[in-house]
Amino acid sequence: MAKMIKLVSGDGAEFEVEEEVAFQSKIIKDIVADADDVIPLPTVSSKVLIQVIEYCRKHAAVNSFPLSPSSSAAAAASSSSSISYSKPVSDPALRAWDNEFVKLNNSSLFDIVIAANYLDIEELVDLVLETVADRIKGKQAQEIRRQFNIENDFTPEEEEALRRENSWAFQNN
Amino acid sequence: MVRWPAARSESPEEVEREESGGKRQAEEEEGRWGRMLPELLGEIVRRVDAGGEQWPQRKDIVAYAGVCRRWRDTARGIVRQLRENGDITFPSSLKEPGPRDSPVQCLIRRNKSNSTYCLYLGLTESFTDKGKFLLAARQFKHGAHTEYIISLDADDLSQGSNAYMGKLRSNILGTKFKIYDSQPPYNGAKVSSSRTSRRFTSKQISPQVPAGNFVIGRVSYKFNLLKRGPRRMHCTLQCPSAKDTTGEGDSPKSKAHNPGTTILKNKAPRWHEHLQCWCLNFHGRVTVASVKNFQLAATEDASQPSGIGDQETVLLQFGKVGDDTFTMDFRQPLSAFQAFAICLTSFGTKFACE
Repeated sequence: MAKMIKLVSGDGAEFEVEEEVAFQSKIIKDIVADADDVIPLPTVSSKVLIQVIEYCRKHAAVNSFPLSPSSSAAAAASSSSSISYSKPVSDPALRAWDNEFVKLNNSSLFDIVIAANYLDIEELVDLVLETVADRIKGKQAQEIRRQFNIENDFTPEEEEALRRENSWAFQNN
Repeated sequence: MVRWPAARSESPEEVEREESGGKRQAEEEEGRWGRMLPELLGEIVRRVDAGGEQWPQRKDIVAYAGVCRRWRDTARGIVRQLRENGDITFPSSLKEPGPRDSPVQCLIRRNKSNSTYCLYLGLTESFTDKGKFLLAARQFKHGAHTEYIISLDADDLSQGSNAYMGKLRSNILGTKFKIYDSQPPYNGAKVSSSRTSRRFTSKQISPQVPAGNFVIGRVSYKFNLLKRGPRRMHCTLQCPSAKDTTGEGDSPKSKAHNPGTTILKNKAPRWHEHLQCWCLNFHGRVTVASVKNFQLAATEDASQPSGIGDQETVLLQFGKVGDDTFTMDFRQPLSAFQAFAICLTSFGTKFACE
């Protein structure tokens, strides 16, 4: 019988998951090491926690039974997330699953970024940040602001200098 | 559910959202991407940067840096960290030193009909490929003097524009030139001319930088009495030392700097016994013989800890590859702006004969 860990979301919902699924989160792994099997996660809503658990379940299965040496090596070798960029997921089926997983609106994506960062689930952080970067590339600042609902807090003078900077960067002669 | 700080008063879009429900959520979510943790924003910038090492993709970083203040700060910070090797990302990169180990390869295209010169970053090996536009210059005659206005915009070459980067001014004979920068090379610099100009600069998007023109270099030419050998060039430049990283939001330790002086002289050709001619090795980057072609090496080098130049390493190379096409290769301590200005002097000397 697999060892179960209980996760409790900010809005009071409880989720019982296998240890290996929960351990995708380094934070949870560290807490459980102190022999505590009920993990309160006050800053994560149940809606977001469900999605995160779904991701962890999928990736736990792959990490336990790697299809290729490189995918488990990548998982094992991952240390501080400050140096790493996205390591490509080597299993194409998993990659396809990941791509489906991140077909979320920006608001949901934001929630996942925050939760994954808080729980320290490196591959998930990589995945969502890469997704955000892809949504930013190829766009001009105004479009990015509109899409991500960001306030323009530059002064009018700064705006003018930015216009100049952008017209230089996007110049096509 | 996490409660985000309440947003400011509602915009028309928010009112609309209110009416369709989810008012509280919209208020909570408004602007949270703009307020994201700097570390996470930094990770996003890294990924945008990783996909855009070359132009034209690098414009994505400029777009990112134009979204809001926090995003801009992280973008500038990350680019500074990642791109110590002199990559050109923002217009301000044009006034920062080039790479240390190998030159940036650029092209200059001359348009004789409107006395305009355009500088491009070479993106391929070919001399006919477009490249990424960097700077434009136009020649203006002021009485007996000639000036070249240098700008970020090929269609806007006036000193009053916010595209104005600096200028080159020649003496009557075309033997001595002064290079002016629209921004001071270091804090506390005195404005050399009180000519009015821009309200703000493109380097720091802040109105505090004094407007004016600052002398940052001089170029002089001496001609061989025999009129057969190359002209002798002598350049003095104010260059930030290579450890300088000026810009917005930089760390305290990079601020206490003074510009160093760099002195450049053109390398003399060597007599090639076998070919029986004077030769300068342009390594394929110059293909048409011209008295305008030159290579500059440093006797004094601001980017070296000792301040001494090795007199061998070519820090700026300029030469003809087509009727109106020239290559310009430069490296630290020169910036793209300085290199371009020096190359323009080669067009400005009156005694050139091609």
